[in-house]
Amino acid sequence: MEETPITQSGRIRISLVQFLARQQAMLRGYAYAICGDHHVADDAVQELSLIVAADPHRVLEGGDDAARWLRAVLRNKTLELSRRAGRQRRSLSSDVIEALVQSMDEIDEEAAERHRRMRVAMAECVSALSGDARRVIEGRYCQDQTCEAIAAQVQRTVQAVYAILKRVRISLAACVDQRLIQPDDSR
Amino acid sequence: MTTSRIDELAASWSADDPDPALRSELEELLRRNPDARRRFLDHCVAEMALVDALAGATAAPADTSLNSFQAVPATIPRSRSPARWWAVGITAAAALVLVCLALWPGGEPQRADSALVVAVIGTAEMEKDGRRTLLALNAQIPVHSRVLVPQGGLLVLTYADGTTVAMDGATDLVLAHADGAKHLRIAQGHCRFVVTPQLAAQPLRITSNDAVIEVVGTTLVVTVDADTTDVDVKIGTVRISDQQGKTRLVQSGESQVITRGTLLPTTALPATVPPTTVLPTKLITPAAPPVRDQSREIVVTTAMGDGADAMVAGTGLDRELINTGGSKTMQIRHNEWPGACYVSYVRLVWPQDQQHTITGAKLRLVSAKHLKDGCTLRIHTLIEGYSGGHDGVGAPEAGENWREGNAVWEPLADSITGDTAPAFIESRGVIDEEIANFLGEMVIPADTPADSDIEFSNDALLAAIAADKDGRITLILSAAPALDSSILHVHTKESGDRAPALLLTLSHSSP
Repeated sequence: MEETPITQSGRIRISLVQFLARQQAMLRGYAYAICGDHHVADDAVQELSLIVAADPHRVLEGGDDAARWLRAVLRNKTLELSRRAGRQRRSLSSDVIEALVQSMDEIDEEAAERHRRMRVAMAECVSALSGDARRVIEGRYCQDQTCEAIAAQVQRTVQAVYAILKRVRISLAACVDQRLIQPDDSR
Repeated sequence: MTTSRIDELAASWSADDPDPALRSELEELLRRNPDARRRFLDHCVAEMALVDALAGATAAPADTSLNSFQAVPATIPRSRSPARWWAVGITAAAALVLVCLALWPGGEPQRADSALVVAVIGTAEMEKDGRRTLLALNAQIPVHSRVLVPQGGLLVLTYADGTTVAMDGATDLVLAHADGAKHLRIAQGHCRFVVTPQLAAQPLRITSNDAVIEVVGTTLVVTVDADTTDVDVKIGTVRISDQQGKTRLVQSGESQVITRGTLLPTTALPATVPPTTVLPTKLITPAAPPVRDQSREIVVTTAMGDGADAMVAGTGLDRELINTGGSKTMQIRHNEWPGACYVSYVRLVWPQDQQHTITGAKLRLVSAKHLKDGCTLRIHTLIEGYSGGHDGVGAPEAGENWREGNAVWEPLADSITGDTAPAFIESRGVIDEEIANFLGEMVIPADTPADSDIEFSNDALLAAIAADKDGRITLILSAAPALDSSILHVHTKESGDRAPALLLTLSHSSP
């Protein structure tokens, strides 16, 4: 196989993309834990990646300190964007957020690996959804509908929609857990 | 605590269940139980995976085997931040790993060669000479290989020249390079290309059943399904030919659909930056309006009293050297290369003793040159009491000790550079909103002639002045990210022979 010459700048770029690819599932999840909003979480991680791109050596050579720095910036960025978007309704109390950020720092490699594998596991579990469960969860996540709007659409009460959403999320969590027990065959 | 209880509470939280008792129970559990916190983080990571899974699965086939791909719709959560425009047209997960690449200048044009896997999620495979192998990180993909990314997966390839291809789930692509040029054939799927400059004689070529797309250096998103190819050009220009031999140049900001081998009319992409003045991001409560309004206007000067204060530019030796304070005209521009991003600073000294009577504020600029392509001017103010500090980019310098209330740039008295300017992230050419409040933005239309008045006024500007504590305020003028690179030249009526030297108007009642 022909070898491709790679410049030093190219190596840094590749390392950075690899770093972000490895971290992104966790970072997006953590941002969501802080703000409770998918859109704000994605915006926060995207802005974080811009900050990282501006100074890649900080995360590539920083070890554990860099990881902590990354999460601290993520927390600040997420809270800032959440405030700016006026979407703080679901945010948890500040002391709970601090406790969560501390727990993020204590995530071990095994848990991190589980987080990285969740995307594929979840895609598999979602493909098994059907009927009202599918309609409700698509209305909520794909179309950004309120529970009231979904209730009108599926001709159920709002409370029933909450119940379906909760039930589906719990069953998806169980499905993902089950799949993550199986050995990872992607690598 | 049982795992099932925290799962239930987390699911209620995500479902936005309004029951306050459930929220209280969740918070209490998270406060005191580390296991609950770990499980909650699991839930949140899974929640974002669910968003991606649903975005990719809307049209997904039940059979996700590698031989039965279908196109994935280009769905991402709606954009909120200006930075997000890089990501339009690809799922959030794929976009994330491309953000840094899109802002990173590429290397020299190079002939086609094997590509390197720099990110992979899921069981992506390579097929070469009839043999399939799983693709791992750092794998080299030689020419004439087929790459298959399953539903839910993600694969990012890069070439030595920096050209990068991000393939979302359900993509089938062949690296069919020829004559030293990169040729990529997409059978089905959704890809984003960041193409660094190619040799003009050897453009990167993307083919589908419907069209041939030629690129010499640009950013574009290509979606291919059974009988349609959709091309969104983010930056630069591409040449697209259909099966009838008809050719069209598609430019940045345009979208081209080719259905059953035939070019349809080109359409404009949705604007990625709102073309109107937007609300401020950090409003400060303005002073209460006076009861009796006998307003009058007063002139507020720049801190140096002789015109524009400073214009700075992004990273790069030349740019950092030429940026001195006291410019007579200022330049404002956004560019994909941060070294060509120009940001200007205006520092105002205003009569603080009349603060309680202020009812209006207006920033008045004058265009110094004809503006051909238009731009969106963004206005920030340095946060009150900013005390300086290393901005995390480049070497820490004394100049970064510039404080918000200073009358002159320190330590060089009257000059700053792209590196030392407060709140300017020179490596990206953007304003750091951690230390600068966004006041608003305004569109300066194309073909704005020289000597045109540019006036900015909103509640946020007034509020910033009302909240000021030291009689000095710093306004930062930048251009919103855009698909063009036009330069806005402005001065402040204090420079040249254009009297009166009116910069900021404060209307207030007679004391």
